[in-house]
Amino acid sequence: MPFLLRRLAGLVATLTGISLVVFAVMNVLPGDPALTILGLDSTEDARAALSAQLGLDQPVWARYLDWLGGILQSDFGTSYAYRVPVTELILERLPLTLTLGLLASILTIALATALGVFAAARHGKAGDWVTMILSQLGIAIPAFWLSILLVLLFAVTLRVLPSGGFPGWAEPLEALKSLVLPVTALVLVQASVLARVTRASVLEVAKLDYARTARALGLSPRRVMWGHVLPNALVPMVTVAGMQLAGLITGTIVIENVFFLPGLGRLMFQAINNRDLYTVQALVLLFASIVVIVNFLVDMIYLLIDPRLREGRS
Amino acid sequence: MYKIRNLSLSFDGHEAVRSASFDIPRGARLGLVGESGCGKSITALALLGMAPASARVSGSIEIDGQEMAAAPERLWRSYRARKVAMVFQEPLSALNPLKRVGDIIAEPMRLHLRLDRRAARARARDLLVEVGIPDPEARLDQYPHQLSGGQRQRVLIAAALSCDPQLLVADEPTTALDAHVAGRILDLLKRLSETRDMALVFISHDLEAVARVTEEMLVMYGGDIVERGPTAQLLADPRHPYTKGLIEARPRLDALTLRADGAPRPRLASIPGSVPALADLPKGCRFAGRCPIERPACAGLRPAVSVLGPGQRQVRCLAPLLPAKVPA
Repeated sequence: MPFLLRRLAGLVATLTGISLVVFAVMNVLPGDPALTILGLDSTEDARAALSAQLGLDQPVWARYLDWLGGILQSDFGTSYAYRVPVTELILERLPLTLTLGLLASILTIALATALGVFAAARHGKAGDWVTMILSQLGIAIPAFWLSILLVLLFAVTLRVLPSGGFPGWAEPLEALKSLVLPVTALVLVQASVLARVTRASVLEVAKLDYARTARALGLSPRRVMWGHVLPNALVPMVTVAGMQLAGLITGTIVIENVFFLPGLGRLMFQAINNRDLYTVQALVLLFASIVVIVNFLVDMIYLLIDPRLREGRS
Repeated sequence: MYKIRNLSLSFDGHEAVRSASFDIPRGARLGLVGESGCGKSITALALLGMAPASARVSGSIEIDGQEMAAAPERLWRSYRARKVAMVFQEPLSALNPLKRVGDIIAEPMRLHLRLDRRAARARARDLLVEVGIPDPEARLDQYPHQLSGGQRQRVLIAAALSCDPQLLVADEPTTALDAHVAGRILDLLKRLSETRDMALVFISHDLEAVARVTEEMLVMYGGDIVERGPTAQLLADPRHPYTKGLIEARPRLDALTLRADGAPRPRLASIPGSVPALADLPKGCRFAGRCPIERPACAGLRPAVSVLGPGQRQVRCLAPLLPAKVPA
């Protein structure tokens, strides 16, 4: 499919562009890594020697090409702060953030679909109103503040869940327990947005002629909803869900810091504080790549959903 | 088979259909004629128990002896597709764009007749043949947007026929189609009604189409059935002033072209005024205010139904027109 190839080429070009921007931004930011690493007491000579050792005396374009070449061999450089390869730092923390992000995404989509369909099916009735008011609240409340409330309730008052920290994967049950509150905080906000989009989209499609045709053929409201209305309501939902993933990523940075979870978000926060150039670059590139790849997947999902789009592209 | 008695449908206390009574015998082909807003489409939906939720339904709809006007939705659902099915006006928007033709036709059969996938597909294929779609095997796997307008309408008809209903309701099924395609769809509907001994309620504002398909017709205005009778008789000899106006107002090619001597034809006749809003309909005869032969009593008094001749024809008018002199 030439369309797929075109889209893939675009994907590579976008990622290259992102790497350029990330590198440029990190290199014009003030602050000398050598000074940060060695401290204010260090001598000029020591800092110059370190800069040379780190390759910071090279011209910018040479450093960029060097960095890019490394990335192609999955070498993201060595962290100034931790003195270990950035790849190692990331791989160590990736499972936690990935679990957090995937759990939050799946639950967001499931909860939002259920709530949106529920509200649409009870359009104008009490169930619809309650769902819409709650989702309005969910959108209005900032995730970090909701996290604090959740901690106060479940960790401090009820003492059923940990207030933060992560015990490691050796004890899967405990590990999951420590993820309950962070995931909840992420999901409630995102699902509120998506539920409203789902409801609006479902209501729009339910008015259309083919929904009436399905009813006229004796299909139950449930079959009409799940078999005919919802699939046609998916395109706007997928669009918003795709955009929400970006929100989910920035969300994990905040949430991991609130709950002291040693994931990529927390690593990012610490790396920025430490002027840990290579680590920050790698993380920004990683997060940006995730967003771009998700957008690519969203486009592919459109094609899966709608045969009319498949035809236009092939 | 269908016995409708005093069926009324009202919105906010305003009657969009006012005590309509008629029968639909097995295999009958009944035309329902009137301007938009006269109540014909909502009457049609009521035949499937699908009147809008905001409508208050009263009166009786009896199907094979079963009273259905107040029947629960679940019972209605088991009747749809199996006893009564409907074909709608816009064949593209009436088909789910994400489903293959074969699945659209097969779904009611899998649900109501409990057919398995293969059996339902085989029957869907036969149905496509029956409604006159060439190369049915290939069509089964196509999507609605890949078909022409006429073919889409045939697919919709095939889906409606899938569970062998005794009544097919067709609401302006050809309005959205080209004239020559429309003609073939009309002939198809008539043929299906004959070969399947299936009743047909054909809703249209197009008198030619109604004449082509139906044996009997009801004329609706403002929610009242104002006249009924055998289609040919009624069109040749209308007794209600509204029916007469409708027949005279229909566009004809000879009325639009120049005469042989080059002089323009007289303008098309039209019924003065327009259909009032539901809330503004007169209490008495609905046609009061637009009627050329209106009497002082008409606006306040609902005319009773007069039976004309040997009982086949009925008209709801205080002063029905006299029979036209039909040349022998």
